[in-house]
Amino acid sequence: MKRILVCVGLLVLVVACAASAADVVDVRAKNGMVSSAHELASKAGVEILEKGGNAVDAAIATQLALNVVEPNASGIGGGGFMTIRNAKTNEVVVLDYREIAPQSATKDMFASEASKKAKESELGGKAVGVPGAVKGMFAALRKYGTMSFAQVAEPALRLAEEGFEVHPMQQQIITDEFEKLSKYSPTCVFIVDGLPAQKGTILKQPQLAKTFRLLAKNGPDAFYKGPIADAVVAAVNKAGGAMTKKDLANYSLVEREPVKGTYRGYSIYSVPPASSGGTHIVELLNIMETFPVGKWKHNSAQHLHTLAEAMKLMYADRGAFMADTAFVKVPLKGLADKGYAAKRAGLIKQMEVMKEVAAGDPSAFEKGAQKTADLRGGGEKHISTSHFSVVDAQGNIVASTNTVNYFFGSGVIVPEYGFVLNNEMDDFAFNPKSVNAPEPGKRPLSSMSPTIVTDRESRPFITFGSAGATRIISALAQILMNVVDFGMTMDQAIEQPRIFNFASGGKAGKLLIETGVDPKVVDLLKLRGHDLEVRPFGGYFGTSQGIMFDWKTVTMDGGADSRRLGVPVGY
Amino acid sequence: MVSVRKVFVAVCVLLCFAGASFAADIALTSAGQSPDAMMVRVVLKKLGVEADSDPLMKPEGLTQKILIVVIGGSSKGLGAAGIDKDQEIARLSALLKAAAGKNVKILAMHVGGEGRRGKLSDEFITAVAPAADKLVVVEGGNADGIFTNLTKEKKTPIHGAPNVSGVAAPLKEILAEWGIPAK
Repeated sequence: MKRILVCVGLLVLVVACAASAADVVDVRAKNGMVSSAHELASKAGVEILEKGGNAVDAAIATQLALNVVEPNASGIGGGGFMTIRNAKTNEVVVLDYREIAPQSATKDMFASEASKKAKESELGGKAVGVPGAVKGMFAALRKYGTMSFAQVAEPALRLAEEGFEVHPMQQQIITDEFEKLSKYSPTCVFIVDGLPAQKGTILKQPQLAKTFRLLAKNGPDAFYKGPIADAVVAAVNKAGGAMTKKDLANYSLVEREPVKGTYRGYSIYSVPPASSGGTHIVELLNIMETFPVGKWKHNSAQHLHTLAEAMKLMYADRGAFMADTAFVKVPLKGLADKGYAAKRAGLIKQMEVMKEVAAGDPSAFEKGAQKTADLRGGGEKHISTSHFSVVDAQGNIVASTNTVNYFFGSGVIVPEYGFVLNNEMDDFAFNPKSVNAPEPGKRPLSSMSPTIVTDRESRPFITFGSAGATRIISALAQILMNVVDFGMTMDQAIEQPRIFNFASGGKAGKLLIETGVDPKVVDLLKLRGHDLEVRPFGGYFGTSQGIMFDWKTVTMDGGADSRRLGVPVGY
Repeated sequence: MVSVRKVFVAVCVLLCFAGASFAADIALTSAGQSPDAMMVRVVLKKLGVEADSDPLMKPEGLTQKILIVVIGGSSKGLGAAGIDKDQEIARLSALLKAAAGKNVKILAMHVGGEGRRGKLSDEFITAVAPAADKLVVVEGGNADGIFTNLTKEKKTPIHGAPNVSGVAAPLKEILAEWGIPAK
């Protein structure tokens, strides 16, 4: 605790160079740091670091604590990705514990108008994918951690049993999901006397605490084969789904090699499919690398025009090629190739705005590349998911993004065990002909991108990630450019207003601009011909947490998004 | 004698069925399609007051004595209802006009506090508040005086409440004043 106070003493307020940015608060520390979307979760991770745990131990503690204090966004009823860098070997691995479709899934399960009208992919039992988070946590601890689940679960257990205070933003989230929760989980702890839990309420979660204790005692089998599996199957099927204990027992985690790329000499390690994120962050940055971004004024018309055009090209490729690589050949190398990016960048004209945006052809840069079609995505409004980053004193690094998809997922909360079940099936395509259509055992396409960056001397540089559906990709690319091209600190980079420009089906979407961008720049972009809309500064554009290494002062610089309740804590 | 008894029973049964379809005294609708109207419905139930609830209530459906309009904009809710902001405002204008024409008392409620303010919600507040006979506003919702300003001319009473649970007290008082007893 004293060390945390010392760290608070080290807290440095940095005034943003751009007046338009939101409150910028960089936190600096020497020994270790956790930056998550909730202060109590960051503190849970630091508590484990202080007890001698490594970054992976602290990451699992943070992940469990987030399940308690931010249950709407992530938890053991969901899945995610964890990127880990080992300080001794410099090896980077990605743990993929993304949910999978149950054996009952069919390609056309959400194709009918009736299904769409009933929002079966979003609400209730059919929306639930087989959760992978528990397998992910145990695998990470076993292979890369030093502590037991019982040890790392201690802070989360305490939070679940003693409760935490509901923040006004959380009251709003519960209220926004009140209808869904009332329908599928009317007796859950988030509804008090028939109404959403109000700000200031001390929210205790005894069922969730019981679950953590059971996992500590009996390991992941309690979840995938034991009593929790029974309860999950019963809850899913009661809400209209068709999941079996076999689905849970057969869930398997995949350890993957990261997608690798570079941006102006910095090396990027991020997530390959089942996430589209890493590959397309690299593609977008490769395109932008062909322009002298650092010589432009940040968020100027020239900067944002080029970025918007590059985003369109990247998203057009995402729609054409991305899917679960276990089911489809995806031209990952071609898409991440600098030559391919240069070819795509050649399509960008400074005084022209692309309205038609065709996917490129990476086959020249990778043999066997094939075109696919009709992904969903781009129109999603949800801002759920949660990212956190951890660094320990030895320099081990974790970046992890987790989700139950929409806030409070499917709305189904396992009554006996108090955790939210995801609605990840909504990340599949409705069109049965799509490569991203539901199939038994398939992982729906994700954009989650927990990313680690090393500097030109191969030293750790940044660990970061974001929530925000398909905007994760554009948010992270913008944050990294803010650091590399514009020399910003971690939190400065995170708090800058962002843009998002989707493209799908061969057509460009609207250029969406976050409030905070100079109105004169908005006018200039309109003059160039952009069909644009200014949206409020907020979670829509992604909510990011990150930690940057400052090698001059040998300190860690933490940033966390004010678009959410993010707080970095170090010691 | 038997036939008279049969007729009596039949009439009773018919009356029971008819009673089931009698309109309540209160109509409850949303202005902006946020879940806030659903929360007011829960509070009304706790007060033992029945209300005909329809978030998309139209003028022709208004047969009650009191209309409660719960204000709160939600782009997600509007999307789910398949309407846009302008269509919602048009519906509300027609409904409020019909209420005035039928001498239906109008109670406007804003229960979302500061969190349910913003550009979208403010448009619904502007559309509804001036037509209200009384208002109930949860703390934070009128921090900038938007309700006060919109009802200044009409001197509409504004009842405050600390949170959504707390709207029960002013709601009970207002309904009692308008002839609807509550628990």
